[in-house]
Amino acid sequence: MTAITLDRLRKQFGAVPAVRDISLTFEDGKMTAVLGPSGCGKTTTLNMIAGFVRPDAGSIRFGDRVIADPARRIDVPSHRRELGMVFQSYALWPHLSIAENVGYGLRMRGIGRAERDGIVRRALARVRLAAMTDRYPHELSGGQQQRVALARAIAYVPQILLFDEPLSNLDARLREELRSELKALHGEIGVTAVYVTHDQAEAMSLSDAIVVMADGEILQRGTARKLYEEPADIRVATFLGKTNLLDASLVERSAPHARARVDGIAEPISCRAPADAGLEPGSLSVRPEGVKLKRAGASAGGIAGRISSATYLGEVTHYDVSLDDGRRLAAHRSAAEPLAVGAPVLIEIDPDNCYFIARREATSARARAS
Amino acid sequence: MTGAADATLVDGRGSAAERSRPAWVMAIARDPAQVVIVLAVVTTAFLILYPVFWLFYGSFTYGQGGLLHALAELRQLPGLGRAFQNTLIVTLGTLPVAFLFALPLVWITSRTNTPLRNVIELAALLPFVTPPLIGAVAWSLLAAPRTGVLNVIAHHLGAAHPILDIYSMAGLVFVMGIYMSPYVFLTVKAVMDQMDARLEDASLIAGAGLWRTARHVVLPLCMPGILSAAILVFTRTLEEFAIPSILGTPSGIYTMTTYIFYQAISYTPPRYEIAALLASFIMGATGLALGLQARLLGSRRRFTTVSGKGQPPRLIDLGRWRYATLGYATAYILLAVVLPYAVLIYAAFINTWGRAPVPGNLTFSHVITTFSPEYDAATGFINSIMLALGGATVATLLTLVVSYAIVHGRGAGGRVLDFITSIPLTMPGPVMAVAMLWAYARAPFMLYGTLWIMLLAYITHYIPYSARTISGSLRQVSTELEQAAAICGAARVQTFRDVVLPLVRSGVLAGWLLMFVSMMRELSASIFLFVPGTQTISVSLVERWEEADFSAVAVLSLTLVAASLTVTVIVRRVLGRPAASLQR
Repeated sequence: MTAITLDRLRKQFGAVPAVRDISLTFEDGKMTAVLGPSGCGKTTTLNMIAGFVRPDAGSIRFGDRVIADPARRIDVPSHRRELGMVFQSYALWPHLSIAENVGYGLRMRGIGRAERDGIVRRALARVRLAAMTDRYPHELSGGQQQRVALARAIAYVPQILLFDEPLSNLDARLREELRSELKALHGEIGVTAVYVTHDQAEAMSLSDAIVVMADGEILQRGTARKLYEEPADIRVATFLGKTNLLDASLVERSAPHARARVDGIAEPISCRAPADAGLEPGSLSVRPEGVKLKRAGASAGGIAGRISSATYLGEVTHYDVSLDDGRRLAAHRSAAEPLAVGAPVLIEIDPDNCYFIARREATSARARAS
Repeated sequence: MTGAADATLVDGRGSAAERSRPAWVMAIARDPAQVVIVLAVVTTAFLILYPVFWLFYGSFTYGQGGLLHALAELRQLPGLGRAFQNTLIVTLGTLPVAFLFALPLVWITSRTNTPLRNVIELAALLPFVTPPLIGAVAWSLLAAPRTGVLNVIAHHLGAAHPILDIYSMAGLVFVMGIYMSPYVFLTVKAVMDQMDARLEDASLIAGAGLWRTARHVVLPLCMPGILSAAILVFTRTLEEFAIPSILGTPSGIYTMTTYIFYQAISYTPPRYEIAALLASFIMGATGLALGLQARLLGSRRRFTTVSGKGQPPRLIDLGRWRYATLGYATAYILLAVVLPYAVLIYAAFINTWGRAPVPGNLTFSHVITTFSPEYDAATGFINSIMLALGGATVATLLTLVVSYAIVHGRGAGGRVLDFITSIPLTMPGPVMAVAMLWAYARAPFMLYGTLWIMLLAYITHYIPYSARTISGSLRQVSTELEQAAAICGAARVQTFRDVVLPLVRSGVLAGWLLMFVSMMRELSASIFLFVPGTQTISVSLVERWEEADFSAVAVLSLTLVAASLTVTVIVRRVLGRPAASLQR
């Protein structure tokens, strides 16, 4: 099968480590997104899988086949890795027609003209560009060009597809449209796909699993829900959606909720915590939808605050709430009962939307970096 | 094609013995194209380093006095300081003149709707197919103080004194500027034509306006082209031999090259060690210019302007101003093309010099005498064509591979190679000729007196020019276009054939043309290397000029230009222009 396995993969550019001994499996037939800010090593990782960059150490396997392992002097060149790839810049050859672009991989596989034409037509039909075969890339819109690039990548039915931020050059609507097309297409052909992006919405909506990278390391891997609800690192918590981070110490572990003490707040806050967390300092990640606002005086209990700004977003209204000590919390609340700016409020934290992140997890990467 | 057998060579299922193969075997197994690259690189390095070695080795061991003796002799040479000064004035003066002529023409032909653009484009290249030698000859026929046609006309109109003196520093710089401007035109235009129009649109939309777009977007993006052109003009002016020889020598204006020629090489006995020492100053100056270029250009990838989504440039509607641009182009063409050719045609067919070209004063006899067997003009002509065809083709093929290695080279290898291929830039024709005489007139290469030694001189001399043109084009091809081909299953050779070559075709073609035309006119090395029987057309021309046989000079000049022009037109027709091939 063609799962992609990275084993202690390392790459250094000069003195700068780009990828630090990462081990990871991209599961067979699944779409895995690699998410992270620019410079996190995600593109270098992809380039090593593609064969554009040689790893310094570690190995890459496609299924059972070792395709890169510097220690054993193995380095299969890109053109023999049997990959498909969609580039950020589309990378269509400007001197070739759309049909020639899409048929190129088939030509390289020695497939005759007649057969090739049929496959090309079907591949283009799949991306709804059947009428464009004789055009040239510059005659197409950006979205169309990227769909041609997609058709080119799947035409020869590779076992693995690589995506290098393929939608980032497109406008938002087109991006969403292509995103769902991509997802449907992947569902149909079911190849192992690696999708590099810095766009969390893209990663969450497209992929079966997400790998979050930062500073050349893997911070966490899991489903979108897992990463959103149980981030193992404050950087994961901030990449995926908005969150409030509060310095906190775990003071009590009990089912179903643990309790954490936050400076300046009298009562410990109920939260969820990873199973292996001890009674230790760390951070509380509170999602805006977990910050419950009530009008002051309506009931007793809760943390006192004041609305400092309100933004109507349709289904919800986004509030900035300042606490007495000046700290700010972001809150989402149904738009039904608006709260006025300046109004005093009482804040309650929903334990299910509040997760404790132990500090050692967050600092380990930095400790190793220095 | 790339069978499973190949794949197992390099994948994990190979045997233990295969795993312990040395790195270079692995590299070849990974990429057989390496063999071609290594062969081309070794050949090129040899072609350059071997003569350079002999030049230094030979120069510094020549004679009894050695280096110190030669230096002492150098200080006593009369007029040397003057020659230094003249060289400085000529090189620095020519640069602005050449750019002033060429840059507006580039803009006019690639970005505006000026009428007759195609004619202007062809005309702008005409001084390029005009060898500087012929330009110098034509302008001295036009503006020599007494006999120049323009002065004769002025005299008829009542001028008491000659109005123009081409045998002056101003005349020298003017003619030099005209004949250097096509280098600027060709180099900058190639970049302009390949530029993605969206980059300009982006700036216009950003509210920059035409002028500011030109300044902040087009100009910076053309910078690699402009700087390469400037370096080209600087070095070409520095090493130019024919123009200062024809226009400067009569009034005692020597530049470094003519000084080397008259005071060292033509001296009896020849003082090669002095020539080498003087040449090393030229090499130093050119080296400085190249260093400056490298520093100014900085990171190469910043200037990648052709990506996978290019769009051909759009034309600016000048409205009524298009007649002003047409006027500018016409004035340039008049000075650079019409007047010189008019006087050459006049000289070729006139019976009595200085009289009006009326039917009774015209004759065909000069043409017949020039090509009569006793003068043996045909030999020089055939030699030149063979040398130019062979030299340009070999140099193009070599540098295509070598430039690819330079552009794709990682780490120090690419930089070293880049450096080696630019060494001949610092070697003017006379220096190259001396180096050739040292390197290839001894065992194991006894080539003196054959066309081969000239062919090697041409190839070696033009490697840097070709490499620069080609690597400039290669750098415009975004890496992702090549990576996409590799992903589709194309090996390096196939990627090169299917993706790189079609995209750089126009650049490669421009490079070939540049060399062919330059080799057709080559004088400054040939004049040292020829023996009777291996003379080139330029050499024959100079011999006639020295015999003051102006009509024969004019006939030969026109023949040489016609031949160069024919090849240029044919090549451009057959292989087409870049924009056209993208639009198909």
